[in-house]
Order: sequence, then C-alpha cells, then structure tokens
Amino acid sequence: MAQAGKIHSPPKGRQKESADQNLKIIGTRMKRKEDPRFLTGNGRFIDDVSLPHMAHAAALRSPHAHARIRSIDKKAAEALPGVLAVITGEEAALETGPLPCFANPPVEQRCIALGKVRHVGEPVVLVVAETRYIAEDAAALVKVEYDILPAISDMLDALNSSGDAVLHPSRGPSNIAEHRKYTFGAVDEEFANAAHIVKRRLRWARSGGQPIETCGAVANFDEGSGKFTIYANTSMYNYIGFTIAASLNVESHQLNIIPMDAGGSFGSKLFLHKVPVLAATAARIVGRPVKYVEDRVDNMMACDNHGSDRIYDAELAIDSSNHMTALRYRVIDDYGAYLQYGLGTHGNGFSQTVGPYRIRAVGAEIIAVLTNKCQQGACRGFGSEVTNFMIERMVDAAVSELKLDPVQFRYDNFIQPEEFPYQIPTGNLYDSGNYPGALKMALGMLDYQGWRRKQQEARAEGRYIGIGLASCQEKGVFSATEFWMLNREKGFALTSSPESVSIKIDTNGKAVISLHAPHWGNSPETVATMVLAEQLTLDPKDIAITYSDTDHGLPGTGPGGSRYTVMVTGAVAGAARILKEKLKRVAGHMLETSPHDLEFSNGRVSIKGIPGSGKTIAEVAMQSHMFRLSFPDDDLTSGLDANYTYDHPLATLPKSESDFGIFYPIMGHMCHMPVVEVDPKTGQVKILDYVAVHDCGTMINPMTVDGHVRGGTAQGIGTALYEEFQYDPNGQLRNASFYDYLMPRVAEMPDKIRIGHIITPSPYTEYGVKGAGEGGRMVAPPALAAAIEDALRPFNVKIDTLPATPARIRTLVRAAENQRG
Amino acid sequence: MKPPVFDYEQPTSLRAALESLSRNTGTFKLLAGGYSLLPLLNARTISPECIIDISRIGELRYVTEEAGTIRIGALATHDQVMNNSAVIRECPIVFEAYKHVGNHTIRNRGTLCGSLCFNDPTAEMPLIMSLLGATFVVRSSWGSRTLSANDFFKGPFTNSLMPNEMLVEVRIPRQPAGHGHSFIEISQRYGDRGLAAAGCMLTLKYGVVSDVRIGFRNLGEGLGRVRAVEAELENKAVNAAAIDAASTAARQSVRPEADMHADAEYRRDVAATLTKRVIETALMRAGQTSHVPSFSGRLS
Repeated sequence: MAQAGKIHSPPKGRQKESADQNLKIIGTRMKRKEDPRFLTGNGRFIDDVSLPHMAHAAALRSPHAHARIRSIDKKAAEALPGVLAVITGEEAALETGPLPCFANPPVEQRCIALGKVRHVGEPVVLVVAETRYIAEDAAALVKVEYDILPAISDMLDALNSSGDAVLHPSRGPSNIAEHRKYTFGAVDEEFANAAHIVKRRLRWARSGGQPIETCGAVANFDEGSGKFTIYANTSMYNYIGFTIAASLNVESHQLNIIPMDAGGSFGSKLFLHKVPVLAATAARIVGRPVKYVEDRVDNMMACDNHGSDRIYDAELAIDSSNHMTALRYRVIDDYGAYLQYGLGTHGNGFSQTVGPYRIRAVGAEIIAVLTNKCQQGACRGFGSEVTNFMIERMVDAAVSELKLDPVQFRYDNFIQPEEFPYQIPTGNLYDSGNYPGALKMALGMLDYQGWRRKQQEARAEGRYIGIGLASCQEKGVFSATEFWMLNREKGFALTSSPESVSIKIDTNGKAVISLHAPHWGNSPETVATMVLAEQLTLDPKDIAITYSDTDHGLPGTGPGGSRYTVMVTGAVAGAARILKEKLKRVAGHMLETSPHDLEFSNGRVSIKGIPGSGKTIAEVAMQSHMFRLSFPDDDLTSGLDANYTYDHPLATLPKSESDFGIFYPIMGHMCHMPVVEVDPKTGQVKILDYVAVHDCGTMINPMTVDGHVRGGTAQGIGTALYEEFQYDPNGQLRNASFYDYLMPRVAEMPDKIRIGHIITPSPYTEYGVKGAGEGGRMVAPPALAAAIEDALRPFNVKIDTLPATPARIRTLVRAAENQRG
Repeated sequence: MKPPVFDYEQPTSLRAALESLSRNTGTFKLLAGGYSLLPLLNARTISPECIIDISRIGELRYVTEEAGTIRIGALATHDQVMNNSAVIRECPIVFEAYKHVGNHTIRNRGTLCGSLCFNDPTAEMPLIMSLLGATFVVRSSWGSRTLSANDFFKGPFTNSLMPNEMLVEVRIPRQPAGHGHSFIEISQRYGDRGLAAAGCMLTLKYGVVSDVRIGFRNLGEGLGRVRAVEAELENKAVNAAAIDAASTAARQSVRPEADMHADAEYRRDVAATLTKRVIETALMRAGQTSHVPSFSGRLS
C-alpha cells in the first residue's frame, strides 16, 4: 500500500541539465521550424503518396451494429471493369491474422469482419480497383446477407446481456469485459470517519478526436523479398510496429513503415493498425501498391479511437475541518466492440486520481463493458480527462452542499508546494508543483472580484453570468505499465517507453536530426532544433530535421501522453553530449590543447573563458569528415554523428494491486477560469472571458505551448458543450458527419484565451521540462460545467452530464422552474 | 465518398436548360451552387442519372428592383441578395436572417433559389419568403406560372415543381412602410442548421398592431406563417398579455419533432420564448424610419 504524502527520500533521477542555468534559445518564442512547409502547402500527407501502378481500395461498411454474415455475393462487383479484387474477411484471414490488442485475455479484431460484424461501419468487404470511384461503385454492388443479432447500444444493457447479444462469446458468456476493484489506502475507514459524504452520478459522453486528415495507408508488397513497405500516418511504428508485421504474418524485418505528416490526430492516430493492415493485405492479394484512405464516415464510424464513455457513481469523504480525505467511485465504461488498450485509460487515470488534492485514500470499481460501437482508443487525455472531470465535479458538489467558498476550499485541500515530491495513494509520484500559486495567478488575471461584481449587476438585469474554476493535473510522460497493469492476467508486460534521436553534423557543420517518430501536428522539429542549438550554440537555421522509417528506426515511442517534448529534449541532450565530446576531442587536436579546456560558444569550440577563440564548429566538422590523416592514429573515427536513446526519466514497476509504483510522475497542472453567460430560456451558453494558467515546467518554446493550451482548450470546449457520438438504440451512429457531430469553430471560441504560466521545473527531466499537449482538454470541461452551474445558481441545477447542450440545460432549468411553480 | 456515375449537361441559356429538362426522362437534379446537392451526391444519398449544371446561365444571376418589386434570379447568390441595397432597405429581415445562413463561403456560392427549392426544414429563407409574401416564378418549355409561398413549398425537402419545371425568379413585393421585423434562430453553433427559428413582421400605428406575420422554422411540417399566433395580436393594442397570448399560441401550434440535438419538448418550449422575443423586438423597431441594420455577427 502506498502512503500518501511527501516523499522524504525521493528517488534519484538522471537529470543532467538542470533548470536553473542561463539559457539562450530554450524559453524563447522562436518561430516554428515546421511552419514554412505547412503554411505554404508543402506538407506531405498520406493522400499525397502516389506509387506507380497504385490501386485504390474502398471498404463496404457494415450497415448493422451486430449481425452474422450469412453470405457475400461479389459477382456483380467483380464483373465491374476496373475492379481488381473484392476481398472478404475469410479471404483476408487466409494470410492476415488478428489485429494487435493489449487486453489480456485479448479481444480478437480482424481488419475485415470475419463471420460477424460488431458495429456499424466495420469493414465487411474491401474492394480494390483502378480508381477510388470504381472501388466505391463496386462496393455498392456487393450483396451481403446478414442474420441480425441483438445490438447492445446502452452500456447498462451490456451489464446483463447474454446469448446472441454477447459480442465475443469466445471470451466468456457476458459483455462485461473486465470488472476490477481497487483499494488504495484506508478507504472504508476514511468514509466511516467522514463528517460529510457527497455523492453524485456523473455522465461523460463519448466523443473523439476529429482530424481533418483521416487515417490512411499506401502499401506495397515485394514478392521477391517478401517485404512490405507501408506509408502511413500512424505513430508508434518504431515502438510496437512489429505487431503489425505479426498481423501480416511476416517477420518484423519484412515490414518497413514510412511515416507521413499527420493532418491532426488528437490521440486518434496513436497506433493505427487496421488501416495499414487493410492496405497491406490488399497489396499482397493484388500484387500492386494499394492506397486505402478512410473517408469521413469510415473515420467517424470505425477509426478504432473513440474516447471514453463513462457513468460514474462517486462519493467524496470530507472531515469536520473541510478537508477531503477519501474518494471512491464505481465507473462503467463503454469500450465499444473491441478492447485494444485493455483498461489502459483507467490505469492512466490512476496516475492522478486525487487531482491536486491531499486525498488520502481512493477506492475504484471499474466495469468495462463491450457494446456494438466503434472501439475506444486514444483521445487527448487518455481517460484522465474524465478522471479530472469527476474529481472537480465532486469538489464543486462538496463546495455547494457545504456552502463553502470554491477558492478557499481548494486552497485548504491542495498539496502544498513544499510537499513535493509527493506520493499519491495509488503509488504514483507527483514530481513538483505550485497549485495555490496557479490558482492565485488565475484569480488575479481574471479579476475574479470584478467578475463577481459584474455577475451581481447582471443578475439584477435578469442576466445569468457564471464563473467557473477547475484545478486539474496533467500527467506527463507515460511509462508503459498502464497498458497492462489492470489486466487480470498481465500478458505482455512491457516496461519501456524510450525515445531516440540520431544527429549528424555534416562536413560543413550543419546538423541533421533524425526523429524516430512522426510529425503529428505538434512541434517536434522546433523542440529538437532549439535544444540542439542550445547545446551546441548553433544557429537554429543550420539544423534540419528528418523522420526515420522502421528500417532505420531506433526505439521511438512517439507523441502521446504529453511525453514527446520531454523525451525528445532528453534524447537530443544525450546525443549532443556525445557530439560535444567528439567535437572537443577533434578541436583539441586542432588547437593543440586539452579537450577539458574547451567550451561551446556562438557556434565555436573555444578556449574556456575566451569567446571568439578556437575554431568554428564548421571548421572542426570539415577536419573531422575530410582530414583524418591530420589526426593521431588512435581510435578517433571520421565524421560527427550520435545516436541516443532516452528512457523514461523516472518509472518503477507496479508493486501490487494497491501500489502501481511510479508510472506517470512528470506532473503538469492547470487552473482554468472561464466566465459564461447562460440564457436560461434557451439553454444557450456564451463564453465571455477565459483565463488558463498552466504549469508545464520549463518551456522550450512558450509560443508553441500557448498553441497547445489554446488548441486543447478548444477541444475541451467541444467536449463540454458540443461533441457527442450519438448511437441510437439499434447501434446506428446518428451523427457520422460534420453536419451533426458538432465541434467548436472559431465563432464559438472565446475572443481570447488569456494564458498564464507558472513554472515548477521537474527535477527529473532535462531542463525541467514537463508535458503540455493534453492539458487544455483535461481541464476545460469541468471548468465550463462549473461556470454554467454558477450562472444558473438561482435555479440550483447540477451540471452532471456533458456535453451541456442547449436542450439539456433548458431541461434542467425548466424542471427547476416547474418545481418552484 | 465519391459520387456514383452520372451524365452531365451544362446548358448556358435558360432556353437550353428548359429544353434539357423537357428532354430528360430519367432522374436528374439541377446544380446551381451545389452546397446541398454535392454532399448528398458524394455520400450517395441520391444517385440521379443526370446532373444539369445551370451555374453558367449568366442571365439568371440578378437582383433588381422595379416599381417596388424586388426580382431575384435563379442564380443570384445568397451574398448578392443579402447585400443588395434595395433588399437591405425594403426588407431588412432578409439581412437579419441571412446572418444565420451558413457562413460567407457558403453564401458566396450558394443560391437563394437553390435553397428555396431544396426546402431544408431548418433553412431560413423559405420562412422569410413566406413572411414577405414573395411569389415564385416557375417556367418550363411550355410556359410559366407564378406560385405563392404556400403553394410552392410542400413538406420537408419537397416543393411543387413538376419535373420539367424550374424556379427562375422570386419576387418580393413592396413591404409596409415602417414595419417592424425580427428573426431569431437558436443554433448550437454559429451558422449551424437551427434547432428552432422564428420570424416576425408587423406594423404599429397608434399603439395598435396590424399586418402581423409570424412564422417558424424547424418546428413542424408545413409551418410557414402561423395564423393562430398572428391572430392573438392582429388589430389589437400592444400589451404584455397579448404577447403572452401569442407566445402561448405558439407553444400550442408548433408540432416539433425530436432529433439528436434537441427533443420535441425543448423545441415547443423555445417556440414560446422565441415568439415573445421576436414580437418584442419587432415592436421596438416598428415605426423607425431607417432599418439599415448593422451587422453584429462576428463572422460575415
């Protein structure tokens, strides 16, 4: 059992670059390295790939949520001129096996449905033709007969379904995929001693990342070598790409995945397997390169990456001095038709399950159910955004029931700045933070008292303004244990999540950094460039970035889990250390001085303390590459290059089912304060002001951090007010288009999101960097729920269900109006 | 998401287009701005045998005013109509409602007549044309006829055009001088298909309201102007009780349906709220000499 509180003998980290040093480039608002090519339309996305003799594939989507495939008549489709192949699940399965799955026991998924369809939109047939037009024409000619099975659409129905309604009978006679109970600390005791217990039922609706570019792949199969080459917009190909080779029944060296720029992901392209496997399966069958790019409906119905979909019954124990002592909850999570990451999204939530508060004990009962919907995957927050929503709603419920002040209550319950590193009851560690400081900054930036006055004035005019407040955690840098630690049988219990870079300084002193993960819409090129420029005192213009494929790839886990900036920074700093050593050695020979007397300044290897002395890096590079005989005949080798693999800066193994060890310790924090006006007669919400204070430790580039904060907040606004995949009782997805799946657009955004930064550097990462990619979405939903609730205080409504649509808000207000008569 | 195979014709004159309509015996669709048609085609929701692209018929791209009547040709874009000075001056409700029609990109290419023919139940312009008493000039190779809004619009997504007919012009008659107007739409996002909308025009003289025109959108099939609501105000003195009565009548008259965005009860409820608000705003504006509206939306 992990005892919550300050850790008095904290684990030693491997930090080599401390945060308190004089930095010249890190911390500046340098313009993005990526911008020139993206802003001039020169990004290269999956649909830009065109290979000679390339064919095109289209999927026939299942119209049914749950059915047995009785027969498939493909004669008419095959007869259409230009059609190369019409591939059924059975035909695909001749050579292609199940898709990767982290759950254990696994839940079998096929790239083309085999025997049964389990959600609408699941591929039933893949048609390959000379053009996408012909492929779609042919798909429309395929006749499939189905035996309809009962569809499970409501997660509560999944709790006690049986017989034909069971999605995966081979995994047991029920649609409950997992039912797990965890106790961290003395939960029962804390509740027995509580002065107050607050209870709520909370509903978080299913939404998902909506990249403009859908998932796609172009695959080629070389019969001579038996090797696949797949262009794809996936990540993690240098991490678990070998599992795609396993699906395709080839050796891992017979698969090369070439990354493309990703036109948005928001988590949803964390690890694409179905789409690359579909394209590769088709390429092997037709003997030509095949392009398969999801259309919008494919993506919304079958991208395998819908977000969490949960009902919480939560209880919060509070003692007589208004301190929160324990939290316990029962959560049902609707995972859809498959379970690719097991209960990873709940493992993730355990990393910060007490939020920024000194809650001593946590009890969790997790029921994961399978339903006839697209499966869950990754969506900005990976489940912890829902944990945050639950915690903050419970805090606000306590504040409201006990008639306390939301600001003071938080101050009274925060983990204090001097208590870090801090261990939470699940065993995870929070490395650093200043939660009261963030709240104080937000209150000041917002002019909280000023808005409270305006709120009162508005009330007098019959207008309803509300001020929201949410203080949440952003766990950064995942360790891989969350993917399996909640499995009944642990299965493939991996513990690595490294990131590598390869850096070459060429003959002329220009640097090329190879990243081993793709461009995902964030700014890895900017980050890598700035860190290397800082290390070598190079001009950022003299640094270029490339992306390695799997053939040339070193271990690279890729963006996700607010890890990439931390990990790339660590990897670049590590590679730079190797380069610096060699540069000094070569320069030492050139200058006839000891390498120990040399340092880097202004692009030179110079004598310590004498700027402008020594040689430029370009001069040293030229010597190093071209003039070997100028140097002693020792073990010095030509060229300047380094590979470096940076492992997770601080992680430990799970100790027991009540102590998961340190698995997500680089802890960011945010405090959001939106101001909204609600029209109680129509339920419409308008955001009047928005303050977002974030702590992501040392910022490599505050400008790109601001972009992450604004983008994440926009997505959080979507989650709070607009976005919801709506399945009808038959499992039909009613809004598989951007007509009806509503995301905030520019007009729905506040005029300005005012951003503040508070900086508590991590003692474990290079320069003290923390993650920043998910924070906005992980806090905006509870902040907006609180703001709406505050606006409607005179009606005493509770915002327990998101998204808070006009109809939902008006329904709550009407019920209150009717109650008052 | 590619369209099925179709034939394509591109007449460049009205006469040629009408001949094409007469000649075509299979299923076909007219293409003007394409903002509604092309997504349906790409999603294969419809699969007409032929697309008759009328977008190159320059002679139909006009908005003119003659003797108090505003004439709008089949290919006049939303943007042309919205920003026409006669339209802004004579029927400001058009401008107000247009703020809710898509966004600038859509209005730049989409056509008023195309939207009227498509008659999406959430579209604003069918209601606005009903309130304005617009007439619809319909032609075929055989001749022409002029329909009222009531006769032109049928149920959702349908109109009363015969297969060989085409809407060539909409005529807006002179509106009562000094009338008040208001259009309010509730949508979840700016420019979305509305959850519900209401429009009102009225004339106010010596405290008495007349020529009241009130109607709704997306609140029930076939609802253009709603006489039961209008009757609560027509030729009556303005007071809160009358407005409340109209609001109650609206609640009782609408026949909304539920969809994924809002249930029927929500729509019925906001119909009452919208009615009250459009009447109040129209009353406030009535009698004012200048109606030239300022654009308050954040996007144009």
